[in-house]
Amino acid sequence: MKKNSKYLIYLILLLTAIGCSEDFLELENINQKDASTYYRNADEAEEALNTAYMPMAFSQCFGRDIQYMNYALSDRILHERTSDENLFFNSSTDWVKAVYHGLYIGIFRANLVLENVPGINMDDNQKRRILAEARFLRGLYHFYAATYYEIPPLMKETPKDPKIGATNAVSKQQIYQFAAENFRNAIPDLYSKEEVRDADQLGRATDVAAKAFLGKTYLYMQEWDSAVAYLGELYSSYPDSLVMPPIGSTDSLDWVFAYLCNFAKEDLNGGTTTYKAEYNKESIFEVNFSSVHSAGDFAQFLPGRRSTGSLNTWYFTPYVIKGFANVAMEDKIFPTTYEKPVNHPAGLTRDPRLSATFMFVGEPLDYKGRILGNLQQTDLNAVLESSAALRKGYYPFHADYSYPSAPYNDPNNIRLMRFADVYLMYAEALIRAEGLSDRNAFSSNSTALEAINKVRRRAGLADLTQLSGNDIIHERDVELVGEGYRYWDLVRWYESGWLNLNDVRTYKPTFQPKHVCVPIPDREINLSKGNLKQNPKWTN
Amino acid sequence: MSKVGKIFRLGENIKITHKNYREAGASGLNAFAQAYEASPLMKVYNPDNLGGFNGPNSAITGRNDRNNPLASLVLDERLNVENSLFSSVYGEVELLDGLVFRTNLGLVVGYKNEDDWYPEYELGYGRGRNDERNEKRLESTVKVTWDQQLTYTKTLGNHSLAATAVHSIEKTDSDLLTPFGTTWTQPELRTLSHATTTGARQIVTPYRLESYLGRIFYDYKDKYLFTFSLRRDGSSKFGPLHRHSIFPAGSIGWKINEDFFKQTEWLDLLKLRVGYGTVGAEPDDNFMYLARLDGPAEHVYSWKGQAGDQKVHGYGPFYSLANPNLKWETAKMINIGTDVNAFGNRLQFSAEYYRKNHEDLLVLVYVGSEFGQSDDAGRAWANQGNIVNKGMEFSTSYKKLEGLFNYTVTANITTIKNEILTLGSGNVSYVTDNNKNAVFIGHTIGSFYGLVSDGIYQEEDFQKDANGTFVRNGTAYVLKETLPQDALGNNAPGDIKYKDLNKDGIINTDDRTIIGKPIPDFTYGLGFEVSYKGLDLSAYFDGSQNMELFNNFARNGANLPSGEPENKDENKMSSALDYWTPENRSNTQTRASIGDEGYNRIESDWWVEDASFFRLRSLQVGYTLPSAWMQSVNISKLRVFVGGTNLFTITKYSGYNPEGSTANTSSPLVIGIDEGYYPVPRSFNAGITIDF
Repeated sequence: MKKNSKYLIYLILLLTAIGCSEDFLELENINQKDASTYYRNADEAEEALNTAYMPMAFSQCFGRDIQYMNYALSDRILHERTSDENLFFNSSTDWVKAVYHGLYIGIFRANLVLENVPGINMDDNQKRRILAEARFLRGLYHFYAATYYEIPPLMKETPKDPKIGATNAVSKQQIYQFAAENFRNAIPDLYSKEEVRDADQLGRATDVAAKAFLGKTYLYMQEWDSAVAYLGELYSSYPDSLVMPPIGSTDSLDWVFAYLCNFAKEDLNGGTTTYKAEYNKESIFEVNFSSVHSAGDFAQFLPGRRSTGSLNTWYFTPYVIKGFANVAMEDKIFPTTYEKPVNHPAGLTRDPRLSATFMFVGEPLDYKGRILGNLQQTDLNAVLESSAALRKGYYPFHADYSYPSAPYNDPNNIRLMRFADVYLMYAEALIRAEGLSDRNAFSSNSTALEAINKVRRRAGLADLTQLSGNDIIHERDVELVGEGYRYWDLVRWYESGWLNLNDVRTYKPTFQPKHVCVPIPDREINLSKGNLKQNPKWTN
Repeated sequence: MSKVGKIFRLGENIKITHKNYREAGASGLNAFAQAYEASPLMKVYNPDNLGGFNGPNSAITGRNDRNNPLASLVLDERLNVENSLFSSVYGEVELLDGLVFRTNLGLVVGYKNEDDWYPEYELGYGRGRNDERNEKRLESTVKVTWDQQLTYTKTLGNHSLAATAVHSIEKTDSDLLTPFGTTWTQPELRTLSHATTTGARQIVTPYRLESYLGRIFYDYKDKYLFTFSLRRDGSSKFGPLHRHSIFPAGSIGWKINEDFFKQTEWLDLLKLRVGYGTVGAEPDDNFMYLARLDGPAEHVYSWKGQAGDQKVHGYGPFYSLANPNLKWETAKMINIGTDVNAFGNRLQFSAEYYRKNHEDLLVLVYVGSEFGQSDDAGRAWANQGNIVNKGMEFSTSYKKLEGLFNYTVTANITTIKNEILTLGSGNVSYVTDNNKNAVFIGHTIGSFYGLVSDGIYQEEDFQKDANGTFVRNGTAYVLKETLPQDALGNNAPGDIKYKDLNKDGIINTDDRTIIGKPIPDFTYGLGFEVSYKGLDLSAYFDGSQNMELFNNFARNGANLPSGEPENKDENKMSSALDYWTPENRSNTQTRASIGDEGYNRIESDWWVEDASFFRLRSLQVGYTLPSAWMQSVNISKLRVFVGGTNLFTITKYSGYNPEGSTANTSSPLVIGIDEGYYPVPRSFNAGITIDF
């Protein structure tokens, strides 16, 4: 018995010893960083800012899904998703959910920078520049959110409690106001165009980009005087920022490439000169896609997440260059709207922008005629019943230059703002500020005429001598087709009185008043647990 | 087990397994659904394409761009090897009379190696796979458990007592390594070292659990039985403030027949039992209490510089949101039951009332995009509300096992009532992010939510002008003013008509309500085993009653004669041929339209179906040869049998499987959504059993 009690004591000691301390349950996570110990130095501030740029490249945004806002809704481009072509999208449509998701990830990350970076002990200039870029991005994401979704949430800070969902903004104007405030406050601390070049980091937001988006925001708000002020400031500082063919050039490729270089990945060799493509003098802001980090197929390497390229050429280019041919050009009406130049310097019989935008069956895939041959009807999606592919944005094609991962991870940048757009917006704002609320009425505002004529001269077209809303509508149509503005321009002109319901229906026959925006995704309404409401336009 | 001396005992247990198998190729999506939805005009093979398969082609298959699932099913090579070791050793020592100390050390080692080869192939028309790819998935798990147990048993006259104290720890470490490579230039050199590009990812998952348990059994004359236990669990899955929780349990039993009915000879047992227990549950994932940032591989961007594009990276919010307040879910159970055995234990019957209340339910809560979580669906584990499951369970069996003719009949039935009682802070009912499952206080978890259909709009429902032509608003037909106006789609004759439940004159999403539930009112089973001499037969039936499924497979296009926004123009079920036309005024099929103009796909009871079923789960007939014949060849028993499983199912459900068709999700809130998964196979088997 005595011996046994000794065992018992040993055992009690043993049990006490292995009655583990708290440390046993305290584990270290070596898979991810802990946010509570992050944001400590300048490098981490830059990293946080990088993540705020990424959502632009996401497949939910400009990496892929923006195609529906951009191409399917546009009357000028045919998309194989007939339901979206016909505006039969609704609050559970996949891309309606996806674009919203992408934009709000961007807003969240910009807010994370703005909340965490101020407390970091680092170089003050660098800190101010980082905060300004985050403000620019917060403004940019909000601008698109308001344009597409009209009254989605306005997020001035990151939400804290997952049990409380977001609520609607009071109005589209309220979000635009906030976006404008962000752009305006960002301007003083952003890099200039020269500084960003010196920093060797093209792709960052610049003061010019902030001013251009500020002007655009006011144009969308129909605050014409403010739009005139900011776009005018930019116009006077950069009066000659369109890429032009050499004076007197009679080489037709010069005229096509002077325009087409604004959408190409690689510099274009024209007849007499080389046209710089990405970040040329006309460029203001681009989503920087590249092939530096991309491998595998798209399901595993989504843009902005494990890939620095987009999925755009894959979806949009003809079969012959491994595209899916999801889109084709509307080839019956739209080509006839282009002006036929008279006395074109290079003797062109059609607007060089038509040649740069369309690739008709029988025409060479490559203007240099090197490898690819001519486009065949079988290279196009038969159900679209078109004989023209979209050349703009996808030229030269990837079969012609060697990006091994293209077209699956397309390195071509999407331009979100260029000077031709600024000039046209400025001309429009000027004549609206004069009170030209009837699109058929004419103005002879010489500054507005000069602004639009700069764009026309690049195409070799004659100057306009008086200017109507119709001229603006037409010039934006042919100059900016395929760049994501067309449908939202129609909406803007409908809302500001230049177009009525029937006018819009001549372009989009199924258009209903609710189509001035896309609905709030019902996924978001559900997740907000009753806080976020559907736009009344979509419930009545 | 071996005895060392008088008071020590040692024992060990070891099991090793080795498995080697090939999986079907990955077609990305559900191959069954893809095959179903693909165009019948698509040519399956094309010897001119690399790999020999063909894909959809707009000139032949039109807008139907469903892929050819056979290509990857056949061409992909997915090889799996699994090795595992289960072992434990224990030592036991009797310290005092009735006091036993036992220690048990367990080791489980699992090693799984997936080696997936995805070759390059072409389907034509821009489709196929443009890079050869090898993905490996090397997963190792080492789990060590160590239990210390002290047990004291004592019987004094009619009293017997057993008391146990346990301390146990579990230490599990998993390491998942996923290296991959693409494009081999030397066909015979197939290692990752020879791939043109390679990469790897790794996730390590540690887990720790520590428990203390005390338990007492007491009985008096084996007639009154008491149990009480208390355990304290601590888990590494929770943050420092909420790691531990205490779970008590207890039960009492009374064998009534030993106090009363002692003279009733046919009664063998009449027992009443009452139990109360609490059990804890942990979330599936680790580190959910931390705010995590992942990167840099997941978050890449680039700037353009003089030397070309320069990669930059960052650390972005993980897809799961931090919840530092995460704590144990507690299930509190009450059972009151009675067991009856009679006629020499031939008849057994038991009845039980149960109530299981899940408090602080652990669920994966999806959050809105404004929380910035970087997956398609941001989420957080949260303790959200209380739900209750309650009902009755009855089971009975009758056995006759003597003589030449033997039989056993068993039957059971369980009723289930599931109800959400509260929903945590805010206590707001909501619809989950799939827009189908509702989380509504007072309703069954996973209930379906949507509009209530009211047949099909016919031509008479729309306005006509003086000339007799339909009034149009743009492309939309205009409903008569006397009808509630449909704000959902551009309606035309042939679209689904919905009820204006809130009577505001407008049909919109405010008219949604609960339209079904995925949990049955009761489930039941029946079993028969009969044998006569060498012949035997067994049959098992089961069924569920009063439950619904949301037939999302049908909604996604297999059954609807109109092109879908999300699903383009798939092949349809033949029932779709009966689509609505002015001449064929169906009230069960919609019109054919390009795109879903009338928004017929909106979640409604049109897609919710009764999924009650009754199934013959298995049937077997066997014959055992007389043993006299066998003795000469030294066989003690030889039985031949034929049988089958899932031989028939009686159900009104139009999908392939009325049970178990759940969406692929780890959330208990998202259930009962049929995405067109594989049907349950009907199998037949025959065999011989030989005992030597």
